[in-house]
Amino acid sequence: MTLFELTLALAIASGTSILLVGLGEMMAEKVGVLNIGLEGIMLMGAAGGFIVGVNTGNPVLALLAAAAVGGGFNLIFGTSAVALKADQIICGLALVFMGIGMSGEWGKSYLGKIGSGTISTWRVPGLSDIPVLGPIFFRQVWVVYLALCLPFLAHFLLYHTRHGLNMRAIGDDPVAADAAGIPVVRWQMFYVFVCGALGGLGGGYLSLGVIQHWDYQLTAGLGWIALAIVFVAGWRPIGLIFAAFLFGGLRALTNVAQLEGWPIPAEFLAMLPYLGTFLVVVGRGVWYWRRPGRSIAPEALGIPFIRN
Amino acid sequence: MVTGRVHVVRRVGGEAHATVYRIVALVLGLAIGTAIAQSYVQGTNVYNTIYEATIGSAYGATAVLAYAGPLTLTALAFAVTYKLNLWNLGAEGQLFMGAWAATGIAFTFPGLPGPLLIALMIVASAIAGAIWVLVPALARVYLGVTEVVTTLMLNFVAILWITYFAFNVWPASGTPLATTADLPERTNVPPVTIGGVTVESGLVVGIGLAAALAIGFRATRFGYAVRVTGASARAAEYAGIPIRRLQMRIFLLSGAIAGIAGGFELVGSIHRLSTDLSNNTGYNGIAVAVLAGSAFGVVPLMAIIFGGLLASGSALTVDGLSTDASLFLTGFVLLLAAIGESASRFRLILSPAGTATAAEPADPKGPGIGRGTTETAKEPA
Repeated sequence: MTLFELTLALAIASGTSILLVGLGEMMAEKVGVLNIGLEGIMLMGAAGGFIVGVNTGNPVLALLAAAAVGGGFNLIFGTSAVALKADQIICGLALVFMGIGMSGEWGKSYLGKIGSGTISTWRVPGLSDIPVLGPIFFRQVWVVYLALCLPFLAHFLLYHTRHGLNMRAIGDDPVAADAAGIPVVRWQMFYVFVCGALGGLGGGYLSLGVIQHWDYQLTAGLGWIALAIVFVAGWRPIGLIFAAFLFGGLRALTNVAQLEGWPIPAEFLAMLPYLGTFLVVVGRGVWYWRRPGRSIAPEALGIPFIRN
Repeated sequence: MVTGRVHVVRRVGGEAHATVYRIVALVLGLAIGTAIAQSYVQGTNVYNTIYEATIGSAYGATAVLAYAGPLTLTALAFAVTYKLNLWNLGAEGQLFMGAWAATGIAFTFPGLPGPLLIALMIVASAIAGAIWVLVPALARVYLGVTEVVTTLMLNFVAILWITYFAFNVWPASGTPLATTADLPERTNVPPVTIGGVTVESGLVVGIGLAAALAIGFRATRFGYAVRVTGASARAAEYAGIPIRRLQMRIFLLSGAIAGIAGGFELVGSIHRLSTDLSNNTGYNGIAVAVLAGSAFGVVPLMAIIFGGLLASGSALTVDGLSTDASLFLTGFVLLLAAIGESASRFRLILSPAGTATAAEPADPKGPGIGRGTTETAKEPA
């Protein structure tokens, strides 16, 4: 593989992962639930999926297991933060600790084992035969295409269906949504599960499809970047695609620079995704300062819904 | 019972039971934690190990207090912003940047007399911590950009910044690890030893600062303004309190406190800068602050209890408890603390299926129009 191809492959891998995870987070945030525990959820999905993959040899089953583990794990968050109204940020932080700890414990006997057999690739008819670009963009594992399709589906759901209208109503004004007859808590719990399932899938894709082995804390901070890109994208699903691949690309740059021995210190390159998301989030604030039409967060984001 | 419906309602009459629920959460967490730990290390008696590692020996008590010092400071840093309903999740990064600045002073001015050098290092660490929160604070206060994401992101930047300096600028000779050389001996603040138990300067400063904040927030106009604004930003606005300036000051105070946590770790405890200077101290500080209900006076006590938790986990690794399991338990205690905090403000009522929620307590404002039977059918258990 040439350097260019390697960079792109890494960028697509990281980008796909954080796109899935970020989309789940965005759906939860649309109904007003802020979950900062993505790093923990991803790790649980990565570990759970890998274990099922090694034992069954079936990557599809393994990815489904990753999603189920992520969704189930996030119901801990749902129970405490949504049903019992505990603080969402504290619960999210707790989820990170619990996820790192539990996935480390689960994965201990799977360190050094070889993965489950590869996830099948899909060649886009016609386009995959284009020289250079074809193999990079149009011969990917199917998870990549799934990740690319989901934001469009989410966009349609959010902005062109009654279901989406209800979701946004809950996120902006849960009291009004409640008065209109929407079972707010049930919806929030459902999207907490969706957030966990997509988070687990994003993690499972890393351990099963990219790295193909289990390693302690293998997400290495991707969960935090996935959280940030939701803010970067301004809660717009299609914008999320660009944000995900931009910061996936920045992350790939770090690895490539290390391999190539670029004169820039590795630490500074490794800062790029974090510093980049930081600057974009702050930059958005500056851009929309005293400007009309700011599409900012759901109004009730992070506030537990209490009726009265 | 299964057929009943569970409702979450606001407690009437303030937070009377708050302390009780926090203590219940903590005790429950520790009890379950101990039970899990016992299942790991079947050969030995967990209670003995925990006792020896915490209050049962001078060595154990020293370790507990060594954890408690920086935890007190990072918890105070979080509690300060929490008073205004702001989130400083960046104490981890601010601690590192404080330590970085202190290290820089120590290596740049090695000729200064010891006490002056130490004072300069601490001042530098406070300033560095405050600077590290400055941009997120400005963005939050003046542009409405959430500080949750921005403060978190800067934690990762800070750790990489430290790694760079430890490897490239002030490297220790003869080690492949990311750590600086030892600081000049004159910068060490010797710990106090009372009856075999060593107390480091960070804890002394933490307790002093907690007391100062507790009194200061009650006795000064600044503290009064913070309390009013925290309770109701609208009331504060009508009262003419400059909310934005207040928020900025609180953020900078918080950053400075987290910064000196790093400074005192260097001069009082570890004496060299590395990425191991903090093992999640910034995040654990959040747990401590939540357990303490953000009451400054309670923070040192909770930091010592939490320090006991960390020291026990560390001691039990010798007997076979993994670091993963103790990390999980930390998260579990934090989760219970959050639920306990919520239980002090809300309560669950169970109404049997088919009945209206007559048990719902009277709202201080009186029952609103339309509250009643039609609403009860919707919220699931």
